[in-house]
Amino acid sequence: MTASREVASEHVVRRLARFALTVAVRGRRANGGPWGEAILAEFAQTCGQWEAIRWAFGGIRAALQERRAAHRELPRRVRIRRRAIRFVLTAGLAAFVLQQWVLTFSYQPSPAMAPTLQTSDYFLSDRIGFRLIGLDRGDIVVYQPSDDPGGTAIRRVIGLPGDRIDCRAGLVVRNGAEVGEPYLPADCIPTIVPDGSVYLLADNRAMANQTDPVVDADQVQGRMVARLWNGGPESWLAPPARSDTR
Amino acid sequence: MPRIPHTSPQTLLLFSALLVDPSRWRYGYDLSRETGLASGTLYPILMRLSQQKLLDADWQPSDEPGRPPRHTYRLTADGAALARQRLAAAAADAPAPATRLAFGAR
Repeated sequence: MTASREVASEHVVRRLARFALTVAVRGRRANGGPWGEAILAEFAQTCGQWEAIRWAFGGIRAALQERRAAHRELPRRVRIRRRAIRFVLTAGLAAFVLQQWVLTFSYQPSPAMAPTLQTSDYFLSDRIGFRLIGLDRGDIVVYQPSDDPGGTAIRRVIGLPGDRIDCRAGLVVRNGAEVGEPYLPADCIPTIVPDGSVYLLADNRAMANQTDPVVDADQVQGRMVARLWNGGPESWLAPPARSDTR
Repeated sequence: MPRIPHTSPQTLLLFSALLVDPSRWRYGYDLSRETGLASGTLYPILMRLSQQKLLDADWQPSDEPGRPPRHTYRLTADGAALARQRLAAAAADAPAPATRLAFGAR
């Protein structure tokens, strides 16, 4: 009774220090090793917050050392299994972080970027590099269209801020010069690309020019770095065909 | 040349604290206060000494009611002999024992 009341009236810093030390000593078990328990029992002797923190900090180091020593005593089979589990979990987490924020593996469901990217192609896009070194004309980017929140589309950068974009006889004209790109015919409204925006067109212009080509630069999520392989309609990797032609 | 075990300044500090009264059982917290060693330094040394049968460790009920039992330590006969030998060797080695002690106690 006395002990529990004392614990309840303990300063929050001391309670946190005790908690951290208890976790390091016991983990999920009811009792830790004898040395960890010894350090935990001595915690009550410390006075004040700083001594408690210092005791807990050193105690955590000692308890971890004790646990490592106990781990070395385990049978080889158990150690290998634990290491394998840890490896799989770490690799899974690393793959998730990579896919989500660094280098994304994606699928192209539509012919909008044909002939550069065919329907069912898999490609890699970089999600950090373009933010550091900027976009260039001719880059292929993945962006989030305003009319499709949550969706993504893939386009080529035609114009950067300040560029004057026009179309003449099916060819794109940038700042008065024809953009020598042997893609399908383009048709567009003359535009000067505003600050903080990019001018995007699909390579397969007949298929995918219904959207507004002027896109806020913040909507760009990644830049394609490599086309990998074609999944094909019969490939087991290919997700079900989508009806939109983005 | 391999390092001679139990010669670090921290271990020597602990030896001198334990040799004050070798028959008395000592608490970890009190040893930490006396030697100035942090728990993260003190306990690994205690673990090593105990594993090599140089130190006895035992659980004793706390003097204060309602508190959990406390772990106590004292040198074994072998441990006490080794501690005396190491402290004597360190004193003989050090050209200026006063500075060495001052450094170790910090």
